[in-house]
Amino acid sequence: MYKELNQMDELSRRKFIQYSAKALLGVGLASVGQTPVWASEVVRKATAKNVIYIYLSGGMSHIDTFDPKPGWKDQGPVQAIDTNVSGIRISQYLPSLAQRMDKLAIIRSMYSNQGAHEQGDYFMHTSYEKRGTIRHPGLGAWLNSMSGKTNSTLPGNVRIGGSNNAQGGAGFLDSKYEPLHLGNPEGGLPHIKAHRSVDDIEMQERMALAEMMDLSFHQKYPSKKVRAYSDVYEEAMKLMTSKDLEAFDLSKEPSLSRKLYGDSRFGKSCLLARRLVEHGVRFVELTLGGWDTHNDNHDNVEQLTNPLDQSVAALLDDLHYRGLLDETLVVIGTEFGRTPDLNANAGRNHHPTAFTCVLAGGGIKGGQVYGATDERGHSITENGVTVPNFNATIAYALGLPLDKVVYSPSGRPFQIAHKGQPVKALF
Amino acid sequence: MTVPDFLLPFGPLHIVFLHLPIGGLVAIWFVLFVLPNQGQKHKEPVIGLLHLFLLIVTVLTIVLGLAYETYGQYEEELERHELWGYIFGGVVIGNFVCYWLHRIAGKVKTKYLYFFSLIVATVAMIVTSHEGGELVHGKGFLLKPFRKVEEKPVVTRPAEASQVVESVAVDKQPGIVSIEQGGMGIDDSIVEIDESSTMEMDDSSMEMSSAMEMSMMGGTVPPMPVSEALVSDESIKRFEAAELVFKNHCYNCHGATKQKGDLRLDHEEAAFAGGDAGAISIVPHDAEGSLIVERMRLPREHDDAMPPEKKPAVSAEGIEAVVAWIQAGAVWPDMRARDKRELNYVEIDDEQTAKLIDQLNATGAKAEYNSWDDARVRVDLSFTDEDKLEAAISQLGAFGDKLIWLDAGGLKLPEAFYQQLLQFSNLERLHLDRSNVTEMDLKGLVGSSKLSYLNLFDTEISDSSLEVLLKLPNLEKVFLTDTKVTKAGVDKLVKEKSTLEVIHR
Repeated sequence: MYKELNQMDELSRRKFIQYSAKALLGVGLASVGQTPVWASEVVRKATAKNVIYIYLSGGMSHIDTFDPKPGWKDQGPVQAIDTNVSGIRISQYLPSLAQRMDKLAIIRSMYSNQGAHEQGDYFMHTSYEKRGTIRHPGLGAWLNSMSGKTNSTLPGNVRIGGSNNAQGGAGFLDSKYEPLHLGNPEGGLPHIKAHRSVDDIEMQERMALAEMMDLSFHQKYPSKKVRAYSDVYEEAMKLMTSKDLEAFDLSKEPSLSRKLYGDSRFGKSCLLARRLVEHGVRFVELTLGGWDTHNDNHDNVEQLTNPLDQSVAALLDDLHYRGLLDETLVVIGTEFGRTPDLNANAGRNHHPTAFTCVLAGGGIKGGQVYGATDERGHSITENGVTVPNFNATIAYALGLPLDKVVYSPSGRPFQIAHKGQPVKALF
Repeated sequence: MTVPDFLLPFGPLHIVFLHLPIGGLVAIWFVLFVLPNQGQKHKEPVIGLLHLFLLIVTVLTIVLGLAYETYGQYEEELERHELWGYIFGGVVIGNFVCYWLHRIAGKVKTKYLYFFSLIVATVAMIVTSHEGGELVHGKGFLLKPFRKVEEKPVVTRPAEASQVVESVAVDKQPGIVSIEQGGMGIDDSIVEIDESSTMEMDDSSMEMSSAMEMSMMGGTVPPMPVSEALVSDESIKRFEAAELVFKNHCYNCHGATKQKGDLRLDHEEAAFAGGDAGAISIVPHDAEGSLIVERMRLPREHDDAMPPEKKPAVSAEGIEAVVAWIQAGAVWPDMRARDKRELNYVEIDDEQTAKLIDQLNATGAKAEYNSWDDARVRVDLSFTDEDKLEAAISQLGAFGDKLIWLDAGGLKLPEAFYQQLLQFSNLERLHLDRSNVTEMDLKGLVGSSKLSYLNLFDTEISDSSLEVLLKLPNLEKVFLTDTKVTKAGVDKLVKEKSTLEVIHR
């Protein structure tokens, strides 16, 4: 009996918790039944410096956009059209992107195990499943924490549109990597001017006062989170007088390019994204919502693809001619696809079994389709790509160390893409 | 007997709840006979409540026990405990009835009846508890501390595996396993290693020997972790393949909660110590001699076959994985070694370059390694502090052939900048977009042999400058949008250098 007791002492804490959880709650923390894939030697040659991540929130219908299935009974009124790359056909809803297919790499074999919006969204942004005990960082925070932002006074991680507390923020990394959220692309940066009654001297006095009051607290609690506050103040002050602020001013753009991007809010977001990337912001995420087409799928998708097609095409052109496309990875991502079968409301439901994401620029070889689905777009028939693998591909393009284990403040090990492996065929 | 599904996850709580009836019954005895007897009336409410409590928790424990039966994958050995559990439940109900009979009638006869039922309940509880205890702690657990003979040496990671097997094969009945050959002697507690026998170990047994030393020192010296460098990725891979088989097929009965046959496989020392069957369950380098392999390979209907006939059998590949692991030395890497594996990326640490990068970054420019295992450098001058631009440019020269990517977009650059461009013999990408670059400046690039990307977007470059581009042998892409270059100029350029991609609008 003593032997057993002795053995208990030697169990590591992690094992002990696993056992307790198993014994008391009937759950195992570790996923059983999956042999881990070992990190093969990863040859990195970064060509991307920046990312413009276009997130289609709600779940883009892959069948009606980048993975059309002519001949399938529930394909609906949408036709497939030829692109400028022979042999690749995409939906007629995307005529401009079809003409820029030579820049796109379409991954038609994405799959996820999360069928609900919040969880899927979280998984897509962080590569980890949503857990109550930890907040995982998104790619933008990973990039800025590992590569460091440029000297630009603008924040390194910006999010345009979508909700303020969206998934994939700084997670357990320093709060300074939290994306700056802009609700309206045209509004510029809000609260950036000092109040009219506060002149420069007054401002400096106020900051000095604040610093004095903080001093003892900072000495007493020299923690990351406390430091992050003063970092934020400092950066905000720099930003207030910065010349980089003009990046937010879309009126500086010639009217021709404004026209090309379109008048939609999303078009303006794309234009702003390009300006930000030019001004040294390394990760910009744009959210285009409303893709949860449970009702009246085709009408909705047609309306949603209008700004998507026009603005992304304009963005790709603009980046291309400015020589930015080689160093800027454009990502079109979504949390899942939609069912091949139409429901009673002529809509499509959630479908994580197969969906499509698109990459362009940043060293990605354009004009290719990776993976495929069956004749109705239901299951993957070749080259399945998991969400961690997709994110690993983005991180690989950026030259980030996929094998590096980063410990959260509580000492738990994490990796950028949760052990995902990059899809090297795309480069 | 089946219980509702929702109860199944709560099954393990049986182990906790079973203590409540025991406590309840003891409490009744205590109140009845130990507390001073100052008027029976005084105690009645308490005893009444205790009987109600006993009844409720007994029913609850039985229900949870049934849930645990399904969850815990027990078999026949459970039947007696289950039967006695029902008997105990029945007796408790009887006891409850007797109590109220006695309390209402208050006769001497009912009093004896009540006491009798209480004794029966207690006996039933003791038997049930003991049966249950044997399931959890193993058969004969009560007397275990008194049976000295059965105690096996905790340490057994024999180095000379084949010889060990011979001795083990003979000595199959339960009892002490003595290993005297191969220069190793395990004698109750004293362990000696003959140095000569460890000399000819191969790589994998080296790992093993350090693990062995560790476990052997266990008693007196705090155990030291296995040297992490010695545990190779390969051996971790093999271990995890074998562990997966154990996880799926063995841990339910030979894990943390149950150790049937006194065998536990989820923990290094326990696994190597073996179980009641006597033989050592895992003999490094000798799969044929390892009892777990033998048991897995027995015909399914054999009494000793493992997993038991009613459980899913281990697949052929599964057995192979275990065999491969044992043959390679049965290395059991510790958690830290397994986590360590993920750290095998290369971090660049070139002191000189790192210093240059820090210096340059102090001017506000952004210098960084090209990627995480590439010692070459890319530099972005766009955000250099205005007053420090010249300093940054003069520092740039020190990078020499390390610089492969230079971004000077949007800057008013001094002539000195253009003149030093040729120093960077490995420069592949050059961004001069929106800069003040002129035809003269471009001429400074002639001879740059690696340059493949040149961004001249939105500059004053005109058709006459294009001659220079022809003299850059590796140039693949040039961006000429928003310059003074005309369509005709571009056409001429492409005609003369067909490998060049010109981006122009």
